[in-house]
Amino acid sequence: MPERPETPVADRELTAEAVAEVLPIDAGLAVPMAAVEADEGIAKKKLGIGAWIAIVWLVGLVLACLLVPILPVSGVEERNSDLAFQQPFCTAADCVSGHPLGGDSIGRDMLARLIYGARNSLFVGIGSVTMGILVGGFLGLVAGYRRGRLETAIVAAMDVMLSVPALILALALTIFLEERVQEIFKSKETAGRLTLTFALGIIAIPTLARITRANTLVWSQREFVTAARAQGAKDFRIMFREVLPNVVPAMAAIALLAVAVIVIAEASISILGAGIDLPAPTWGNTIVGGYKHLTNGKAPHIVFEPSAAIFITVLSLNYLGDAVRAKFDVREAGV
Amino acid sequence: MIAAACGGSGGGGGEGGGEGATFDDPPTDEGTPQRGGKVTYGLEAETGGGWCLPSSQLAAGGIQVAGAIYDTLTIPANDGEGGVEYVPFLAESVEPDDTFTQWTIKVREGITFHDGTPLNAEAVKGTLDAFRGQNPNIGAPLFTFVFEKVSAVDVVDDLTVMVTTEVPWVAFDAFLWSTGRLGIVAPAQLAAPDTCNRNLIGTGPFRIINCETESCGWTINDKFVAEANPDYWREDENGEKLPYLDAIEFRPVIDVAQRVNGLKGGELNMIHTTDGQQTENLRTDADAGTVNLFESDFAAETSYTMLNTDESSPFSNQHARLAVAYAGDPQEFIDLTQAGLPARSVQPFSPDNLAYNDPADVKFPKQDLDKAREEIELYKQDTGQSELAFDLLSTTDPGTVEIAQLLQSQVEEAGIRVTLEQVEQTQIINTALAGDFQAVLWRNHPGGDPDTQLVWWFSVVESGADNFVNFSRIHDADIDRIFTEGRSETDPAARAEIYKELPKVFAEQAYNIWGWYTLWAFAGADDVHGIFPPTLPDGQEPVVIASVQSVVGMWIG
Amino acid sequence: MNRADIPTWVWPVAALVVVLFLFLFVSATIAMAVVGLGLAGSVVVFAGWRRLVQVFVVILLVTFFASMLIRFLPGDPTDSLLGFATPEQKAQVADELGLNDPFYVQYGRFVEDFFTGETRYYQSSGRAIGGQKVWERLGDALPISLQLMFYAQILALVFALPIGIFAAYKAGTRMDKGLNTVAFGLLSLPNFVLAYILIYWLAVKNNVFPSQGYVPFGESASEHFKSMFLPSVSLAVGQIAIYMRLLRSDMIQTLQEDFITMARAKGLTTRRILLRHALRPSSFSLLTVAAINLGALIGGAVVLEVVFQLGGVGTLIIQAVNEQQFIALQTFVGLIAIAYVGANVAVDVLYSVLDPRIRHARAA
Repeated sequence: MPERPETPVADRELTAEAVAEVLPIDAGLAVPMAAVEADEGIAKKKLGIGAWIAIVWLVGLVLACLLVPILPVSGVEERNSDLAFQQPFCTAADCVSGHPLGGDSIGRDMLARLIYGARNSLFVGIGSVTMGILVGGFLGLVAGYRRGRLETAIVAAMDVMLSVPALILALALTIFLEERVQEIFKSKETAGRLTLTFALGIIAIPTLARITRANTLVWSQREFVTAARAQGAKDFRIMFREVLPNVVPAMAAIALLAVAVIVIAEASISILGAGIDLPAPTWGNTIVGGYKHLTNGKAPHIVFEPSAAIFITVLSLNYLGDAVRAKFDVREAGV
Repeated sequence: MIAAACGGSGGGGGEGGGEGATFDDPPTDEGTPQRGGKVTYGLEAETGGGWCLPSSQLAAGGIQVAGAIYDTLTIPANDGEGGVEYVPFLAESVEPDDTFTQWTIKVREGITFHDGTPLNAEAVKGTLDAFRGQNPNIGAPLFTFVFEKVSAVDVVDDLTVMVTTEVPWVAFDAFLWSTGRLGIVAPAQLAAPDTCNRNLIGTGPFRIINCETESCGWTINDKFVAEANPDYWREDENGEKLPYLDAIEFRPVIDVAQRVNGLKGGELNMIHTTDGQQTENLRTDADAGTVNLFESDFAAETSYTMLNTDESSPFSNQHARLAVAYAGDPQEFIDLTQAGLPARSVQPFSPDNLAYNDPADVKFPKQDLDKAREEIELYKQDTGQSELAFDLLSTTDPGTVEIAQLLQSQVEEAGIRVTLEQVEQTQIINTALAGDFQAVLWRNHPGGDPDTQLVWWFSVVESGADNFVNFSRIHDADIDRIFTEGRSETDPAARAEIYKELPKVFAEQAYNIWGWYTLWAFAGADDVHGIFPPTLPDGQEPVVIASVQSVVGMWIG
Repeated sequence: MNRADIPTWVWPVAALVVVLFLFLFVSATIAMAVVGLGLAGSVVVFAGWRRLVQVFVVILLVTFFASMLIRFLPGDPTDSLLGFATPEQKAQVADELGLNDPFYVQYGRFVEDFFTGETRYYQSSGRAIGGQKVWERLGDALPISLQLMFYAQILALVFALPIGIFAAYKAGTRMDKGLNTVAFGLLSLPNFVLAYILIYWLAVKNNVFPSQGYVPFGESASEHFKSMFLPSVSLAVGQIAIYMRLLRSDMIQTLQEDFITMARAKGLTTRRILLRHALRPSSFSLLTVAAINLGALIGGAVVLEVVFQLGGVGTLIIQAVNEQQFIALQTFVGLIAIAYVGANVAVDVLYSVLDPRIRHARAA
């Protein structure tokens, strides 16, 4: 396990960036992803009970997504008129049994909609963060290691991208890409997923690049890097063999936090009217489709169930991400 | 859902619903109208293109605003037998000659536009010519086609205009209403085409502060504010000047739940809606006395699935159309998404229309999955396709998307594969115009004389080119014949017989999958009265057709 | 004086100047309050000019980038403008709107219009063109977004400060752990989910607040606050959690420092120590994020604006995207970029002034 470096305070880059890395995506608000301790206790213990609950939820969710075809859950398109508007945990005589989470407005099983929705929402979340880390991480690594003009160019480009309000950019990209992607991939659901993944991936790139760069900066100044250079190792080799392994753990933490933000972003984009089209379910579009039944009081569970799913998932990801970061992130040595 | 509506006359009684007042019995004694106050009216959509009436595509929301600012030459009235006749409104008289090729229109004396200029024959001619596409500065693509058969509009004297038509046009007076779209526009508004869509000058009960360069009064996507016209020409039965209100404000609130909540919360004191679930909700409130509710499905428009019969679409094959007709169950839509309120329709015309047939006579396909599968097989044999698959288009409105998902789910049971697509409200008319669809959820054909629906289904325009607003690209010789003959048949009984064939042709060909008759609900706060309009100037009882609710008689107290 | 009498270019220039000066002024004020030195002034000015040029370049890049992207949006403005029209009519309108000109010409026109306040919506009436100025629509929408922002931030700070200080003081206790857990939960709660909960509980079930709509303050103060309450609370709650944790985290470290120990030894009351000695040095992160949020929120909390139908800048943006109002959209992006970059500049300046370590490093 890499130790934390002790860089003298005065040498550190004390700009707004370093203090609060922010992913300005959620409603245009800053969501600081650093400089906040999850819990002092965590750094000492292995992983607290909270983190384990989070892991259980997330793993359970992923398993449910993967195994849903063989689980005793209705099909995602299966519909039963009698099930329409049925409340969750309904026990009255005229309730259709076997639907613990109730039915949606046209008679589909809510549990099925949620699990299949999770598939889409998580696909988008994980996919776009992966893309963001691969591209943004690479850019950040290069910028942080090489310094100089290349760094300035990359930083400037990232700054420009960050200045466009992220949600708007994502919205525009989604609308723009949708048609074109659909020409390639005939399936609407696949096209929708890929479009959204790509669009959200693009807006994740600048922040992930920034964070990677910040981490790389610190690690590049270590003695073993200087030593490797003195031995004549090529830049790329040093970057990938010496620096990267040390940066990865911190990035893993950030990745978890980023997935949480992207899950919220997917729902936000659905609320704004873009996003994956029904009948393919996502948590976001289930909320949008069910909103009129919240406000007319008939079936608020159609909105609240996916909302709860989003909340618990985001909470778990945040908690886990915080815990991991508290263990690994080099910049945690208080600012 | 879209309303791209045209109006007309009609016959037969209407049904209202539940606790709302109906066409048959509008609210009785509401007390003495009081002056003052403002109505804030929540509309279902904004009118992005503004109100240059000859060229605007007014949907329900736009027609409401137009009705406040403008008056039409004729207006639908209760004919005393549960039907509708078109009576002079802004006009003093509208008389055809014996051949129905010359219509003499005389306007009432002493009426002025909001800018003080007189309502006279020149102004009427100017408006009618603009609607006919004769104004070089104002395009009127749809109405030019509607009024194709008008050959001339001539000024006879200061108050009288004569319209000459190429063919005998029996129901021309219905067209002078055109579901409230044919408001008479002041020459000054038409003379400035740049600002025509927002510098609105009419003769109506409300006026906006006329702004030549800025768009005062109308803030797009926000509100449209108009003050009472102090020189309005109408009075109520007791000689009191109309309108009673000081001002009216129209606000587009697209989300119906928010519109209803706005009413309950007090931000709006008047709304309209076609959503069955919300109407059910409003009935409960009406029972409790917290809202005043008026419902009407009189001369209603129909909500349906429109099919594109163009060669590029699977629906060019009759078997494909029939397959979808047999596979679907619109009653389930009604029950699940409209709280069971509206009435099922198997034809485009409502019971009040002279072309209405008894549903049993129409023989529209009833849900029968076996028959649907048979039709699919026939389709496959005809075309060599391995399956029947189509795209279903709808707006992004969640309520409409629900219906689309239901339809998809129903027909998939028969083995038809459906892909859903959602398009912004602002884009959907263009998509339809371009024929860029296979099936789309639609709403149209309110009430009235069947003649007014010619424009949607006739195959060609005068020049012989394809009719560009015949979205379904229907080229049916029977339909063309029905419309041609019906327009000029002077004997009412014979005319009705001609038009009655139309629903049967539609049922046989399944060009459109009819759903239900749209039920409009108009709800005001408990202190808002006069939702049902006052007696007409010449003493007749008015009617409320589709979404057109006249605001002239509303009062607060 | 009538609004129409003032030359139109005055507005955006004035706004730009006001926004930048506001942030610089706020930074300088805080700096002087905290540090109490005239040194603050000179640092602000120096840093300001260099960064101003940077800001200008970034804004041009952002608008260029955004304009290119927007050009690629599917759909043609003439479609939503004209509805029923023949292709020839649409082509003519497209010409009149300048949509067929090469990109650099259109961009140049946009930049010129942007800095003179002349950017307009596309609007067509039959054949003639003439749309409302974007700035006018903004004039109505901007106050709404700003109000939402201010109310939410004020609410957030009002709650976060005392709770954060308290939690830091009680660091490690069960009370602190409890607060932390609650805060963590709240910052994981998406603001629109909270909005749905509040709407259902307070607007649908119990008609206490309106579920949508905006009432201007001038129209009715009580209705105004009622209409803004649910949106502000929805926006603020997440921020309370974030600010509280930032403050707590920084304050815990500050409280461990020598000068605090010395203050305690001197016998100062806890309250005095917390508020007068510990609070200021601990507020860097909090102020940073708050300032960045101010900048970011100029663009409106888009999702909440849609949920509550507030008609602020965010709503305008979404409408512009849906209606292919390219010029309007580019204008909004440009303005938001200015605000956001301006906020970042202010924060940088603020930071370099506030942090004694940098000042001492520079002075050395």
